[in-house]
Formats: sequence, structure tokens, C-alpha cells
Amino acid sequence: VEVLIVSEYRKLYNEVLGNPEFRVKLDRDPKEALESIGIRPTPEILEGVDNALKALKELQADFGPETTETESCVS
Amino acid sequence: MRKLDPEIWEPQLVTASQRAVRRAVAQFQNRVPLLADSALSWLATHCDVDQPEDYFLHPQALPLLSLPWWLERSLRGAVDEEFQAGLIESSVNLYYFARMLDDLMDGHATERAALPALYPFLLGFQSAYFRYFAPSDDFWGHFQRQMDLTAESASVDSALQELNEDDFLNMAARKTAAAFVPVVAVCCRYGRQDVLASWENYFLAFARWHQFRNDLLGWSGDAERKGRTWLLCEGERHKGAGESVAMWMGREGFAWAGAKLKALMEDAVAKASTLGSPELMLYLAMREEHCTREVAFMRKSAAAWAGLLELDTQASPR
Repeated sequence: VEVLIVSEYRKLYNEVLGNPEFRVKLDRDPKEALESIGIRPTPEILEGVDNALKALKELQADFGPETTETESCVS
Repeated sequence: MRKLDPEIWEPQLVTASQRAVRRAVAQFQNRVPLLADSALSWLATHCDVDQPEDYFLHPQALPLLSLPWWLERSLRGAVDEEFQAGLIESSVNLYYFARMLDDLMDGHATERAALPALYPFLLGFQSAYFRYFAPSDDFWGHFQRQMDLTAESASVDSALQELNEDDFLNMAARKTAAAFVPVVAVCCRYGRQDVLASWENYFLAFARWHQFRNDLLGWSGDAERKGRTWLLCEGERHKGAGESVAMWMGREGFAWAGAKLKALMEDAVAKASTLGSPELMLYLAMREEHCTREVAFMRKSAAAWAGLLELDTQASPR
């Protein structure tokens, strides 16, 4: 069980960094988002996600939409 | 979308751009009405077709319309608005051509019926210059060189599987060389080919910075569609055992890319500082400041998510 938990945190970290759509899903419905990538939404994982999302929202407020919503298609 | 900064885009340029971009779109619709619906549907996936000028005046876009304007102002102290409007109409067509070709090369779904728009886009780009330059004019030699450079760079870049810094600097970042054509036009029209090399040096330096910033902002999308960029190749080369490129980005990649962007911008600013264009210097300062904030936000966001890895460490049987 420990080994599975270890890999799940890394798997989740990998997904949130590399998949912007998943980040949106995670914010909207963490349990469903976690299950969609095969991660069991344990209380520990949900708390970790909640902490990260709160920190992220504070950063977005600090930096403002002109920085956090830059359109990468403008090239 | 961020409001346009009036200190960056002077009102005269905004007004001229709005008129000329809309005229270019209207001319396209009039010339090829049977193709226009499909082409505009494609265009609507990239911009608001009711306000097409916003796309070109976006503060983070390549300064395709403003650079020739700033150059003319630096050379003459004034701009010929009719001439600049012609350049803008041409550049709009160039951009649409390049965007559609890029979509095709990147494998984005594009309606088949829209693809023949490449013909009128390319013609619209080139034909604007017939008004100003005779066939024997030096302009056309420069024009051909920039077009050849763009075509070769795009081809080589798309075929490379392992990009390093040299590949990026010498190939990937030269894909936008055609966007230098309106700058060439200004130099040739006013007999100032003596300043062409210094503006081209600047343009290449800026294009490198601009392309690398795009690669950083789009890194996850590029990775998803198996695109090859210098940044992603660097991630593949430096990621640790059992680490993905995404994890390398969080651990090191954002900081590495931020340092590269800083150095590329310093080079662009150094080259721009010799050109005598205060508008360009102000613009670069704005871009640098904004980009620094973007990178800081990426690094801090990654750090926020890295809390998950600390939980991983706590749960790990050591």
C-alpha cells in the first residue's frame, strides 16, 4: 500500500504540471479528477490537493490575470 | 486580455492598424467569397473575427505591425500612414498564411475547405509590395532571401528530433524571418539599406527570445503532441531517473528557461539600443517585465504543487 501511495503523489504531481486541462478538472471536482487518472482520493491526497489549490489561487490573485492567463497562441 | 498600453501603442498606430487589418479581411472576403466562410471559420479559432486587429495589437504578440512603424519614425521623424497601411495589409496576409501553415505542420485539425486560402493569403502578402518596388529594385532580393530563410528554417526545424542550443539559435528561431520583410521595405523605400543589417541583427535576437518564450508557455501542449523543441529536448536530456519531463520542468526546467530567456532578452535589448527607437526600447522593457512575472508565476506554481512530493517523502518507507 505504501508503494502505491508513493507513486500516486508523483503521478499526480506529473499530471498537474503537464496537463492544464487536468488542473481545471482538479479544481472543479478533485475526487472525480483523481479517479479519472486512477488515483484513489484518500483524505491525505485530498488535503494535499486542497493546500496546493489554495496556494495557487493566492498566487493568481498576486500576479493578476494578465500574467496567469497569457495566451500562448499569440505567436 | 490585457488592455493595450497606450504608452506602447501610440493612438495613430492603433487607428491605422484597425483600419488596415479590417480592410485586409474585407478584401479577402470580396476576392474569394466562396472560400471566405471556411477560411473565416478557421480564423475564428485563433481570434475574434469582428475585431481582427486585437490579435496583432496584443501586447504579447510579435510586433509585426509596429516594428516597421517605429523604424520609419526613427529614420524620418514621421510616418507615411498610407505606406504603413499597405505594409499592415500585407503583413496580415503573411500572418494568416504562416498561421495556417503552422497549424497544418503541427497537426491541428483544419477544415479542408479552408486550406486553399493559402493562395490568396500569400498573394495578398506579396502583391502589396508591387505598388512600391519595381521588379529591378533591391527590395526583391531581400524579399527572396527572407522567404527562403523562413522556408528552410521551418522545414529543418520540423524534421529535427534532437534540438540543442545551436539548432535553436540558428534554425528554430529563424522561422519568423519573413516577418522582417516589411522592415526591409521601409529601408528600401527611403534608401536606408545602411541600417538594414543592424535592424536584422536586432530582429533575429528578438525572434529568438519570442520563440523561446512561446516554447516555454506551450511546453505541455508541445509535449502532448510529441512536438520537439529545444526546451523539451533539454528536459529529456536532464531529467532524473524515474522522472518525467514535467517533473524536470518543476524541479529545474522553469528556472533554466527563465535564465535563458533573460539572456536572450539582454541580447535583444543590447542590439535594439543602437537603433535610435525609444518606442522599441519601451516596448522591450514592457515585454521583459511581463515575461519575468510569467516565469516567476510558473516557478511559484510548480513549488505549490511540489508540496505533493513532500507528502510522497513522508509516506515513503525510508
